[in-house]
Amino acid sequence: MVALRRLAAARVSTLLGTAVALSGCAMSGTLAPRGPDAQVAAGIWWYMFWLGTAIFVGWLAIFVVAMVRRHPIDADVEDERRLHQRFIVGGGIILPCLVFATLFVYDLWGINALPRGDEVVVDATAYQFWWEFGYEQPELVTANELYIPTGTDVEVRLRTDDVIHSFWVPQLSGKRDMIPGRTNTLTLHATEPGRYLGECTEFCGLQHANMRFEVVAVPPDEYHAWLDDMVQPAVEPSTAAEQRGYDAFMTSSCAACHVVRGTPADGRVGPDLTHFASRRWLGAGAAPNDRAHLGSWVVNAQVLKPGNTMPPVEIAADRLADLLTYLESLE
Amino acid sequence: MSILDPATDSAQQVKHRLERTWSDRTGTPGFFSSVDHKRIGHRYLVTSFVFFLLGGIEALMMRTQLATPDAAVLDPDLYNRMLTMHGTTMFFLFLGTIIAAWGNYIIPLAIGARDMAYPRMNALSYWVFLFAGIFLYSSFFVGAIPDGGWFAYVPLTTDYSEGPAMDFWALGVVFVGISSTVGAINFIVTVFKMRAPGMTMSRLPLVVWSTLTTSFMIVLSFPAITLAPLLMAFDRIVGTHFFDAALGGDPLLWQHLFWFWGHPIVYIVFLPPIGWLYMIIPTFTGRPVAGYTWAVAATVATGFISFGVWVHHMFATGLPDVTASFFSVASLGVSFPTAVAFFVFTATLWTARRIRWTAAMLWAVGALISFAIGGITGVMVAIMPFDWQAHDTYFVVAHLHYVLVAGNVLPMFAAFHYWLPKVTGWMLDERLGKISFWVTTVGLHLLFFPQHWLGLVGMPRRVYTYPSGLGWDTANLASTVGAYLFAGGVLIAIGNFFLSRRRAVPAGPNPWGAGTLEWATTSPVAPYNFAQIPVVTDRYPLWTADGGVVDVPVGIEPQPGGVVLAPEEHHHETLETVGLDARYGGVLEMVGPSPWPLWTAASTFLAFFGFLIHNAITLGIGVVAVAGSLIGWHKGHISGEDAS
Repeated sequence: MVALRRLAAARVSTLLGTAVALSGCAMSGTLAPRGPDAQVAAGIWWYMFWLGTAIFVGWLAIFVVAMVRRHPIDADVEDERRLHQRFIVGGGIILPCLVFATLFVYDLWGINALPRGDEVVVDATAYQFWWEFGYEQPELVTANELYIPTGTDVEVRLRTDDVIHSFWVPQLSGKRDMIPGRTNTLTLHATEPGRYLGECTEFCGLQHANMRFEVVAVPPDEYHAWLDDMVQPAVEPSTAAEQRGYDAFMTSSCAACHVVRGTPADGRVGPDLTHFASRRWLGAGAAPNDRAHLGSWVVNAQVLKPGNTMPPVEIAADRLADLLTYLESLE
Repeated sequence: MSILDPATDSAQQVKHRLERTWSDRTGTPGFFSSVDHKRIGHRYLVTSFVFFLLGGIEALMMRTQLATPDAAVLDPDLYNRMLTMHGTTMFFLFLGTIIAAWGNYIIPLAIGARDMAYPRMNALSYWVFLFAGIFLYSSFFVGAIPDGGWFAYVPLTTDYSEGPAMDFWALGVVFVGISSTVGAINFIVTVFKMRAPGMTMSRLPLVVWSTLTTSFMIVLSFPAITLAPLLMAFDRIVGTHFFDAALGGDPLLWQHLFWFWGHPIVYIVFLPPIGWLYMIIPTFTGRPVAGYTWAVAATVATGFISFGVWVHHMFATGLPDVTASFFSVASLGVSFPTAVAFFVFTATLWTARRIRWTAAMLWAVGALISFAIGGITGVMVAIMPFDWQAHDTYFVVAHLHYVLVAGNVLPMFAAFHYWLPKVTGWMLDERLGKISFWVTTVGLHLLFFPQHWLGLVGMPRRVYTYPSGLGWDTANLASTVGAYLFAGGVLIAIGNFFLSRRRAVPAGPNPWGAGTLEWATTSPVAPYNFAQIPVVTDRYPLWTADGGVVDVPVGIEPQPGGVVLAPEEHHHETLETVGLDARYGGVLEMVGPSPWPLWTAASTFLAFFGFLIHNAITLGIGVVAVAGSLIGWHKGHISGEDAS
């Protein structure tokens, strides 16, 4: 057990890095938009970047000249005053007016250009420190991976179960807070299939850093196939080891906190595990979902993600192996 | 009031009498009862700088943890506590108090006054600041360091926070707010009533204008930061539900109250430093500031607009677009006065005959150039579709640090090089000053510039770690190297201070040939500031009209027939002036030294401590002690000697 933990801790960094790099999700945020909302923001950013650079460089050039040059010692005071006036009115009033006018128009245009549709509606609920996603048709709950169809306006209804969180998928759209007592909405629209990094961006406590999710955008037919898969109850144990793992799950503390649809496990504290093995990450992006990390996570989730809600589990080594086998079967 | 009679009083006798009248008592009682604005300003400087170093150490700890992905230098718990204390320390115990420090020292001198209008309140505001700082930092000794982030969003800081950590924060913030409010009221009255005769509002040095503006901003905005944490403390300690959504409260109420203070405070902490630059740059260009009226208008306008922009911290909370658009426009509006200020400086330099590149000038110009970057990114985050991306990422971290470091910290070093000779009587070393400038500035840009990029590629702020493979590693490492470089620059500046102190090259009254009144005093300044209260006829009284420098009237020698106010009875007398044109309004008899401000602050500490430990008896004793101290304070109101 100790060895397992050490192994997990030692390998987490390299594994996670490799996994992310290999996963093909181009996680370059705002600058690599894959949806109309992010596209608008990126467009405004580049406009402001060039405008801001031009203004900064232009002003700095004047400023440097001002520092280097020597004003004639016998300059007329009135001329000087007029010169000052021209500087201040030109740079302090006219220049900001021009910037202001173009930017404000861009601002308002941008707000109105954002997608607002709700062809598909999903619920996103934030918990310290993970995400639950709910679909209505068919009714279905999953965690930390949000599947959406490409080319479709997906309205995400944002709620929180505890503190304030913020929902951000940089490549698809801006962020929106999840505030107790309120439901905010945000429209996601992915133009291309892909896996997009999602993050919590409001400081929400100890593990704010490890509160990520993935938006998986797939073509609509694949999306519907996925829904059909997901709505199925968990697979029955098919081998002796899986059966022993199933027993271990149902008789230990696991079942008190997690749902596995089609079994007696109906705890609502942690993520729904019905199709756990189909996910790529453990603990909302804390570690990749492989056997070594899963083992470490089950024995003591506080090692990989200190401060999350899952308590250490007392379990014998052979039972642990069976439990992991069962969990890995939950495709 | 006495009129100098050349037949009986020599100038020396008058000075001797003033010296005896205005000096603090010696020894410990003198130390604790001083109400001299210079001594208080000195204490403010030292205390604020110590907190600057503490906040800096916390920042270095965070940067060390973030230097590499998946680092384990700090555990998440300690990291979150350091991030909370870094923001809290910098805002409440450094940025907001360093302006009070220089304000205290410079404002009375620059307007030709002998002290602040309320000397004892001035002492109170310092002692309260000190005790509030001790209160906040005592959390380190009981292992309950605040951990909810410096803007302490509910309900993370109420229902989801255990132990007394956030009680320390909430009560500490209310506590330190008292200090700022008391100080601001004092500045306002000082500027309106204590200016030397003839110092009309249009002759007011710009640093005084900016301090006056921020003082009004403090008076209007600090009630929000007193109320909000108090409500938080009630929610936490008494069990009320102001912010509890489940019981009809509203977590957004916290954000509105917090940012109603939280945005003005940003301008509060950079307007006075811009005021310092308004003093420093004209001195070294040897010319009056260009467009004085524009500069005043820009300063005051910034103060006004600052109250209409707080919602730009809340664009992502899901407010209606129309509401948010209003604040987006207002935020863009700030670019007008800021641009005016920048072109005032540009025009001033443009018509300079010869610029003297002293260390102070270098720091000042460096501050302006760096600040411009923060100003430009500030316009960017006012645009909502972009802000929804940039908000709460490292882009905003970069933006706010550019504004605050270039808008407050760099000007602070400029001010040290410029005014410290006045405070201490000796010069800081120029060469070391310039070296520390370059090291700090290069560090600053290496530290914060890559963070813009980090934010754009998706790094959220306030994360204690990040995985590798996201392309964040190099920029984070560069940022950390920059942080150490910056710290190195600060260390060189500190070394400069101690080295220069040992060398003690005498400064003389006006080492820079500056034009404003603070340079008409001796260095260090005599306890009474001015032997004879000067009569002001010009914006730069020490410069002649053609821009040259005239002989400095050291200490303003008492002239026969002039107003000297050196009564035999050792009362603290000074002049009161009235109206915008500072007409002679009579003689003010000021209160003298008193230990009661210290006792009031200490009793307040006791009361807050009682609240903190949920002990009504301690709280009660504290409140009674505050009342008792105030009675003692006012009993011997007229004469300093009676008040002890």
